[in-house]
Amino acid sequence: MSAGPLLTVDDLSISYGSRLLVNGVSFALDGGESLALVGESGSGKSLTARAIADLLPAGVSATGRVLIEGAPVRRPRRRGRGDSPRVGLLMQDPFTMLNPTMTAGGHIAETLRAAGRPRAEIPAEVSRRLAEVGITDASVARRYPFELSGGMSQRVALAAALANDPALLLADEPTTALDATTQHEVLELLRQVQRDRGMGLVFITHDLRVAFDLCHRVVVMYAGSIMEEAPARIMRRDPLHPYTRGLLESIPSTDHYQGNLRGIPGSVPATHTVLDRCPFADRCDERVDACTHVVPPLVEVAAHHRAACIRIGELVSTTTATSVGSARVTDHVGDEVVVRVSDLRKSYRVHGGVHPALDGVTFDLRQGEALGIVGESGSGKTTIARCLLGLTSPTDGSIEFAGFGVVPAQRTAQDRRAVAQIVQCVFQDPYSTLNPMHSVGTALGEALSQRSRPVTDRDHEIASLLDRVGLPASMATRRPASLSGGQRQRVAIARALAVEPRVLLCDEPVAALDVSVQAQILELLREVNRSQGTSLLFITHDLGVVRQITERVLVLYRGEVVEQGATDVVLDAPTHDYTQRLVAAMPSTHVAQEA
Amino acid sequence: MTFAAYALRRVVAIVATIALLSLLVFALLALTPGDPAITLLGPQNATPEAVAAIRERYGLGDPFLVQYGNWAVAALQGDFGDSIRSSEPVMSVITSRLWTTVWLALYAFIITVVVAIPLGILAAVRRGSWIDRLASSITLIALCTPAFAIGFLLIYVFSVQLDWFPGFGNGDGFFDTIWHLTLPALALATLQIPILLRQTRAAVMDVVDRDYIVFARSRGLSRSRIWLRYVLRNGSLPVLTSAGLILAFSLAGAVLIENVFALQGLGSLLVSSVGTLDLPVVQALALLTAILVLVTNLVIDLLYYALDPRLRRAGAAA
Repeated sequence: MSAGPLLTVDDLSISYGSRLLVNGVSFALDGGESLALVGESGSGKSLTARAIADLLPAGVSATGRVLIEGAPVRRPRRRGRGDSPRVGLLMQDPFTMLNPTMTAGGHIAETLRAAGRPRAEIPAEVSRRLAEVGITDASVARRYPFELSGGMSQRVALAAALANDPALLLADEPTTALDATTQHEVLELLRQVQRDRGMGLVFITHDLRVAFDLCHRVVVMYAGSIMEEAPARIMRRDPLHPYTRGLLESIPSTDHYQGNLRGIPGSVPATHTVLDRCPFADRCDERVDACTHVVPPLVEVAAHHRAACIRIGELVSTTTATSVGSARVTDHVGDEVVVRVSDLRKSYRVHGGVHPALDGVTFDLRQGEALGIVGESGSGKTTIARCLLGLTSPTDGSIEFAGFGVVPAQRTAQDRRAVAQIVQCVFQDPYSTLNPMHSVGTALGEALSQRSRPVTDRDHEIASLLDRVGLPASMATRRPASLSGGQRQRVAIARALAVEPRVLLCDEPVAALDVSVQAQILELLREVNRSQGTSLLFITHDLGVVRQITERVLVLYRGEVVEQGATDVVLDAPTHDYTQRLVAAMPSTHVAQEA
Repeated sequence: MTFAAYALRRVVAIVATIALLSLLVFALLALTPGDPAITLLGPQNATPEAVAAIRERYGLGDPFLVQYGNWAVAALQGDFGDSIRSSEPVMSVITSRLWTTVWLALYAFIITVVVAIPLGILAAVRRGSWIDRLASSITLIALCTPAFAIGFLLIYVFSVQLDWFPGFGNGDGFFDTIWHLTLPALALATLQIPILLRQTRAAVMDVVDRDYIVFARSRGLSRSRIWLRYVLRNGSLPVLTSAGLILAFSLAGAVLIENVFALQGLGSLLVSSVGTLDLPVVQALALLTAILVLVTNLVIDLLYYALDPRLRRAGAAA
């Protein structure tokens, strides 16, 4: 190995036309070391990775220097045969990363050939490379991407990315699209491969917990700039920058109930709007006047620990509130059963066979209660939601609502209207759930007209709905395109509340939001649940969210409820094998755990 | 399911479709107002003896389905009756004209593919460049210019002014035919190029932005491999569909073009036969067009099957 670092990024700036997206980022990485680039959307972490691989999208340009083993990265188009790139790239979505018309083995074989391997060695080498990523079933090599699960695809992609033995692997959120248990497996695999090969790893993630678990060092980015950089051990124990601290506090704890979920108010600004100031100033509790007109330099505050905050010397290290547990409040839960689901079954016909999506699910939801439904993709949790909302008809079993009775399997238009006044839904993606042509006020007004109680003063009611979800009344004239993701999700919640439903069905309502915004929305949902006694049915894969929002939880596995009970009991002492795996797969928020 | 089984299933479906269509085509006779015997003879030939003879020959007194059965059996042997205008057998009227149209369609199709696909790819890769804007302009102009206007323009420039190509007629022998068909094929291709160009541009643009292209580049694959195995292979599927449609509907385009260039093809035959109510010829042409469209579709489907592994495996599971 050559002397000096494996990767040097020196004053890297990236822009799209005249718009700056990444603002002078510098860091270095040694061979065999792993570094996490952590940030929310718009932080520039993915673009930084693409710039390192010299694979920026068309129209996006970079200035500054990127050196691999002391030499500039060369564009792939000028590379000769057998002269392999030293940088590999693994992307987020395993379903779009592989060529749909090529077999799994084909991807690895073509990379080996491009790296100059003799043809005769290739078949044996392909099986060896598949074995390296934990695939021993020889038939996988002959399968096409659409025949592989997400986790399997990601393993194949990793084998293909490693086929030309890069010195540095860039992994851009490679586990975000996977189920919790699969996510855990792929992370372990990455850790093992990185260690065995002594390869450099730049791991891009929005999740600080994963970064701490996997990497030696962590770089926190915000709006195109580096906020803080430190060894994972040190940052986990002693985060210095207010943004890093805010981010850590925003993560809903999986270990214990938090009485107050602290998000970071506001949302991430665009890089080019905060060039003359600390990008985080507007959302920072520690802000002083100078923060809004001085760019804080990234300075070394301790050995190997850099931070960009002009107040860094004054801010004392504080124990974060996350380590303190609180008692759960349950006095808003009543006795009345609002929803009763009995032996619900739903099966789909596939390839001539019958696939049961739900296999006899039974539960009650009481007034004011927050019930979580946890499970991986394909467990049937979304099917339950669709059955309740009447988007699909159950094959068997019954659904009963308070004040309505048992819902017929085939709902009439009248049934639908009545049910819509009892159950409303908040969906995952706030970007597609609002009609882009309607102003916020129009959307809310439309929802109000569905309410059973007559609307007296429309504008006043819209203003008070917006107020309930923490938005100013002036928001009513805006269109969804001008709102941030968190604001849109607030509007979606206000729209659901407009009909005064007894049950709010939330299908992964924070999964598409930035970490710092998630806590705000969760706190809002908690407030709705408590102050109005609206019952919550909360569908999620995130055990932290379950811990914070729900009193009771159902664990769904392959269409069956395998475990249920009080949230704290189920998460602290899971009894079913699947629940145990799920709990074990969650990265811990415990600060003191690693010392 | 193997390729052969898949192909067989598709062929059976096509035969069934053709049988159904033939029933509709045959019903044209019954649906034409007036006495079918007089329709078949043409009003000027309808002497009482002739009417009696035609009734006898076609069994016009029989029930509809019996008539259809007799017609279909004859049609299967290539006998669609006699043309009303020329009194020649319909099949020989059609075969004498068939090759002109086939050559015209193929010639135009080759021009279309050779121009539209590379230009579409270039336009997609150099999005917003002069070549993309040129391609969009050509597309727009060609789309909103009527076919006959393009034909007359080509005749005026290349035949009357420059005298490079003949402006009308079929020509004899291979090279003479090609020479005669150049302007008509160009005119027909002008109608087809915009459709295929747009499809190609959209398909390639869709593919070049995909993650798998970035992933392929990151693994150091050669440019030629990325182009052939990634971009063109995955972009070819929608292009194939529209290319098939273009070929199948060449006959519709030929109707106009053959009249402008005074070509003796199926298009001009269709126009004159409809105009003179030459029903046996119209029936045969309608059936021929249907078969042409269905067979082209079959070829496209089989190509799809070969190109798209998802289809192959779905077939295997069914």
